[in-house]
Amino acid sequence: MQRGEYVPSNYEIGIVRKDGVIRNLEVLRKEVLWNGKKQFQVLYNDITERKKIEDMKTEFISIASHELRTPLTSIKGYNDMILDGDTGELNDTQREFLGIIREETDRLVALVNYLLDISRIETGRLQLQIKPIPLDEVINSTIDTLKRQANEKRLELSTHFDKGPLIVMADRDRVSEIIYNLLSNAVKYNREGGSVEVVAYTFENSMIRIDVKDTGRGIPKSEVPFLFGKFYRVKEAAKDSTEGTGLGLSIAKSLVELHGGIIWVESEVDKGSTFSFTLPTVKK
Amino acid sequence: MAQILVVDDEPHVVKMLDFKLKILGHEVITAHDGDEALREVETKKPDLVLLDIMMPGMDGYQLLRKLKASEHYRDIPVVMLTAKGQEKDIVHGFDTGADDYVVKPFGFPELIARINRALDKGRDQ
Repeated sequence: MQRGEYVPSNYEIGIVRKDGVIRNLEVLRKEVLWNGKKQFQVLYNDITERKKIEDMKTEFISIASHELRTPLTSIKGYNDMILDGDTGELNDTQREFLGIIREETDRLVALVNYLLDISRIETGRLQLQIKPIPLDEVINSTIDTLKRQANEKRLELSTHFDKGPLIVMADRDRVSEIIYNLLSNAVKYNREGGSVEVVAYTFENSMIRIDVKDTGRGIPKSEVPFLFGKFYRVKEAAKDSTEGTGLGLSIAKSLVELHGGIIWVESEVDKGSTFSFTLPTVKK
Repeated sequence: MAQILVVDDEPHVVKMLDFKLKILGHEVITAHDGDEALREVETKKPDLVLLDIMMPGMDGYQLLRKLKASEHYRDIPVVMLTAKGQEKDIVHGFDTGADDYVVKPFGFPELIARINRALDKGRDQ
């Protein structure tokens, strides 16, 4: 009697065929009952070609990223020097236009970084450095990096943390990236004079839940299923703002799931959105 | 102010750094590959090297290894300035002896802060 379906094991093997050719095999297994005993049936799936394509894709993205970074370095650097007044005084229109170039260049830089991240996540090359980390500290330092943008929009930023240490088992840089992606959206798509609140608390014993609440325009229900997909941008937001790559939430979702957590959104049009995610806490 | 050697095979990047560092009062020497950079280090012994990695001929890692293996030049601080921004590249840069590592494209405030810190460290040695 067969039970369930084949599920991938967490390892692959390499074999050398009689003709000397090396093949990569994925190991899948299925639980079966054999003469009344629970056994595993194993299936070897040849993934040599798939691995070759994955390697080519990774190499392409890595080369493309380098080739994009080099011209971007000059564009950003020269533009920043002119804007900083290193080449003489600017009039208001010149300053405004060069400011637009700076914003767009920064967006391109973010896009290149995101593409590299996605490539690493998808090919399983992103290795998490899991350690106990103080979540409140990571949240506060991420908030600091967004204070200037929040002040420009007169947003009120606040935090509410559970009493006692909020320690999660996670990769510090990646958690910071998840929080940054959610917070920067909460700031970017908020209304003038609105607020952003970050709440963190113990959730279902072994997890800590983080909510990022904004008072932005909210997301229509029809768009929520697409929100965490690659390159998706909420229609109204995309109309008003040229900022944003449509990759931040997709990366946040992948990173949360790599940590064993989940991410979701609750939103009401014209009132705001709350993005929530969970991370594993230290086992007591 | 310091004498800084800028090593990069991209002429636009070299010109940009030359311009900015001179505004800040530094003396700038430039080189477009590792071999040329090594000759400049030997003749001028700069206070700091800003070093790209991917260059024709002797690349940045090779030059860095040579400098850090030499008793005459190992104390010159080297700040890597490169488009190779993956974690393994950064770790490899530090393992090879880099004093600091900046990924392109960079913002001038960060680069200048790192240069100043590396110069202070170099002076203390």
